[in-house]
Amino acid sequence: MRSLAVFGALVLLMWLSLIALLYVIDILVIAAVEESWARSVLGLAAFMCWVSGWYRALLTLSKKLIERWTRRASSEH
Amino acid sequence: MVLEYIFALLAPAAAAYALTPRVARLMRSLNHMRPDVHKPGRPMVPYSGGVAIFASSMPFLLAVALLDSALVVRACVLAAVISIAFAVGLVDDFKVLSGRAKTLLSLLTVLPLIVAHAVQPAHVQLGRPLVPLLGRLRLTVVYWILLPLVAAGPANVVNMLDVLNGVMPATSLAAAIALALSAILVDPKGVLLLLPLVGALAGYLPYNKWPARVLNGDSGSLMVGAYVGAAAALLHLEFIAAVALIPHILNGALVIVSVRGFKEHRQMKERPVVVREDYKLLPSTSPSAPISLVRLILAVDGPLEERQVAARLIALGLISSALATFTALLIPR
Repeated sequence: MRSLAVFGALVLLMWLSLIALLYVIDILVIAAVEESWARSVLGLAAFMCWVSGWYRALLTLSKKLIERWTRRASSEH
Repeated sequence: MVLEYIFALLAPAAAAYALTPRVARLMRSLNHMRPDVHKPGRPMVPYSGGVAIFASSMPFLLAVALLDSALVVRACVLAAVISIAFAVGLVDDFKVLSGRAKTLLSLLTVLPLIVAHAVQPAHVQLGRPLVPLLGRLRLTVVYWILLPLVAAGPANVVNMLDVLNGVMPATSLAAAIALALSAILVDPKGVLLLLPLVGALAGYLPYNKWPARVLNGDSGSLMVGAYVGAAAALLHLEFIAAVALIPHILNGALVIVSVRGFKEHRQMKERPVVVREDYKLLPSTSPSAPISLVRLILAVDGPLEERQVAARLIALGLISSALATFTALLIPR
C-alpha cells in the first residue's frame, strides 16, 4: 500500500499547492492590479509556472521510481 | 422535485443493471470480444460495454429535459456531446482508429457546446468557470483557445486510464458524484444533468469490476469522459472536474510525454507493464516503455495482482473526488 500513500500524498500536495496558488493570485493579483487584461496575464503566468513546476517534479519522480525498480529487479536476478 | 432526482438517479441505475448482461450477450453473439490480458488463460470477454452505459443514461438525460424546461437546452447539448463521443468510441471498438485520428475525432465533441453558446447564450454560457477563492472568472480569450479540450480532454484521459477491470466506471462514478455534490451548492437543478451518469455507472459497475464480465471499450470510456467534461462546462464546474480527474490527467500527461504524442495503445511497441507467468503485473524495466500511473504504482509496490492495482487506482480516484467536493465549498457565493 506504499504506492497509495505516495500517490495519495502527491494528489493532496498538488491540490494544496493549487489552492495556495489561487490564494496568492487573489491576494497579490486580484487585489493589487486593476486592469482586467493585466490580471489575466499575471494569473495565467502564475498558473503556467505551477503547471511547469509540477511537470518537472513528476517527470523526475517517475524516472527515479523506475530507475529504483530497475536496479531492484536486476539485483534480484 | 425530490421525485425528479430519485427518478434521474434510480431509473438509469436499474436500466444499466438490467441492460448490461443483455449487451454482453449481444456482443458475444457478434463475436465482438477481446482477451482480458491480465487473467490466467486470457479469457475472451464481451467488448463495448459502453453501449449499455450509453443506452441507460441517454434516454433518462432526455427525460430530465422533459421534466424540467429550464434544463432542455443544456440536456440536449449534453446528449449531443456524449452521442458524438460514443459514436467515435464505437467506431474505434469495431475498426481500430489511430491514436491521432481518435483524438482529432473526439475534438468534435466541442461543436454542440459552441453552437449552443452562440444560439442560446441565456442557457449555455461558456468561459465563466467557477474557481475557489476567486469566484466566477471571465475568460474571454484563453477559454476559447482551450475549449476543444473541455470535453475531448476528459474523454481522452478517462480513456487512457481504462486499463484494468473496474477502474473506469469506479473512478468516473466518484468524479461524477463529486460534480453532482458540487452542483448542489452552485446550481441545484443542474444536478439532474449528472444523475443519469451516476445511476448508469452505478448499475454498470458490478459487471465491469474484477473479474470483468464485460469490457467497456472506447465507446464507454470516451463517452463517460466527455459526459463529465461537458457537464462540468455546462455547470461552470470545470475546475472541480479537473481536481476530480487528477489521477487521469496525471496518467494521461505521463503517457503522452513519454511516448511523445497521441498513440493508440495497440500501436505502442512496448508495454508499460509486463504480465508474469503467475499473472502478477510488473513494471517494465525498458527505458523506452511508456510511463503510466500503473507502471509507477508497480514500481513502488512491486509485483501485484490486477485487482490490487485497480484498488489503488480507485482509491486515488476517491481521494481526488473527495478533494474536488471540498474544493466546491471554497467557491465564493
